[in-house]
Amino acid sequence: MNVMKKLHLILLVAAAAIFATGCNRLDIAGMVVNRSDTEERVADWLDYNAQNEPRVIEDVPDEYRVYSCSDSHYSERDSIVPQGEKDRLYKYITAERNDPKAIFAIHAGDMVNESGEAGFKMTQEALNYNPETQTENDPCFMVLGNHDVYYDCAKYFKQYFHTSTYTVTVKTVSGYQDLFIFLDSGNGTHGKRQLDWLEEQLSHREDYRHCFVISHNWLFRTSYNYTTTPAANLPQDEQYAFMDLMSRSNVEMVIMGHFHMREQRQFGGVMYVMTDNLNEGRINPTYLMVDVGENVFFTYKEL
Amino acid sequence: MKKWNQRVKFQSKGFFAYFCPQIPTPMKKVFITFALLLFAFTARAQWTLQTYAEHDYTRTEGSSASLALKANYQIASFVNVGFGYQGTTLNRHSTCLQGQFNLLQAKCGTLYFENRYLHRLFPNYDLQEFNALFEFGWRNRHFNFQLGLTNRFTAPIPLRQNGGMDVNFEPMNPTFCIEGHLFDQEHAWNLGARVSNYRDFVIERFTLFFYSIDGYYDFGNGLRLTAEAGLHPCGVLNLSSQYNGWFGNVGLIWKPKK
Repeated sequence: MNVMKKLHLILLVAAAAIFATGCNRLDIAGMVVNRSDTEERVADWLDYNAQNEPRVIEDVPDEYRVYSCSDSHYSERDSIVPQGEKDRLYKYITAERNDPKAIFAIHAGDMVNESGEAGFKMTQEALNYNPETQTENDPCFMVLGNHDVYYDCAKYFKQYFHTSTYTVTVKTVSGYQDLFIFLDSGNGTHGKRQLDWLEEQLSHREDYRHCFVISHNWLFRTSYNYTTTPAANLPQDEQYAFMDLMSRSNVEMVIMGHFHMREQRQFGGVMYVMTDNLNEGRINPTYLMVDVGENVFFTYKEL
Repeated sequence: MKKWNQRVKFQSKGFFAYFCPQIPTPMKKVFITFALLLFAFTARAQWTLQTYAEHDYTRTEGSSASLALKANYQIASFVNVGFGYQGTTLNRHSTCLQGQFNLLQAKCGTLYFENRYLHRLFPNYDLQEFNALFEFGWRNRHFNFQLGLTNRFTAPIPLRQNGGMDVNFEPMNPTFCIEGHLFDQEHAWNLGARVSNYRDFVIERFTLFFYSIDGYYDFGNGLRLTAEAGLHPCGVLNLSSQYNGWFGNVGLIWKPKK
């Protein structure tokens, strides 16, 4: 066998191994195959919004608290499945629902880690209200992450959580309004339609006391954890356009996930905050607590 | 003999004694040797001038056109330095400075080191970025492989806005380039393909690729017509890629004959 034949054989085996290891978990073909397009999904999300009432939470005290987590990565294959009261997502939502100051929870994407419906179903089950252990039935608002679109799984996200591009308005007893904007960045871009929609939402920024944006895809590269090297960012030019829009619109905080680590960056008067992963190798996961009042403070809390 | 010695002594005193009297004599010899070598190389040096007009399209930003100018100066067979500028209709300005040093030349190819500094200005966003790229490469008649790291600073304009708190540093991002051509660079025409995470005036993160095909045609007299077209998808290493944009350019390279 000459050298070229040997080389071809090695390449063939390597390619087969990569595709085999990716089976049902990491969508290796997704590097070149577009399973689900951001523009089409956002059109779907906006259609859903148009047919349903806007999400408004009223009669909230002037000072309240919001929780945020990300990357719960349920997967039967990896045995990351709900385990009752020991389950991390369940513990997170229980902590939120038992906190008298908290009004809602956020999941900033990547709820599954395998193909099919199971991960989405498990996520919804973990978030179901349990009156025996939870005092309030606070909602958990979700956005789509990149793992949630693998193997064309976005349809299951739609089935269980309906939309990933929407706003939540919080109206306080003193008449203040705060705006929370949720975005879909499953394909490593926000897309033209969604950025236009975002700009339209932010054009009413002066009507609100504070504004928060929640999306999955972290904007920056980080130096502290090289296991995150393959995790993608937005294209450079889109990132700068997004950051400029955040700064011009006086957005207080952008909450994200994706890199499986905690990080904070400040740029142009905006605080960008990333939460670490609830599952998938994380020994001491944390979630974010954001205290909203006259000012905004945040802290990480160990689960 | 005496006269000759006197003259050397006089020259030595005249230059070194005046500007840097503390340098010992052996150092002077080393300095003179290198200076002479530099002049010898410069005498053999050659300019290459390149310009290209490009059209870019991305879904989020739409269409834009740009004009790029590059000058390359080969100091010796193993060293060349270059300078480039690109301006776009989106009011972006990129300036780059680069040097390439051949480390090892063998029959099977050349191992080289490349150092590039790229500054990009986004006046519409009040933002600028500065990249410092360090790469090792290996090329032969048909292929070119490069692997390296880039450090990136992103800062507002002006730099001290918000008390300088907003300077964002992203160290040690991997960069790569895999490139292949049908013929060697001396052939009258050529076709090739390339995958990398950077181009002349943009260095993307490791996770965002540029796929491109390129070619050239030599008119003779050192004039070469070049063309390139490529795709710039997003979310590739998110394993959820989608079409994001494309680019195409046509240009000329002029290498004056000696």
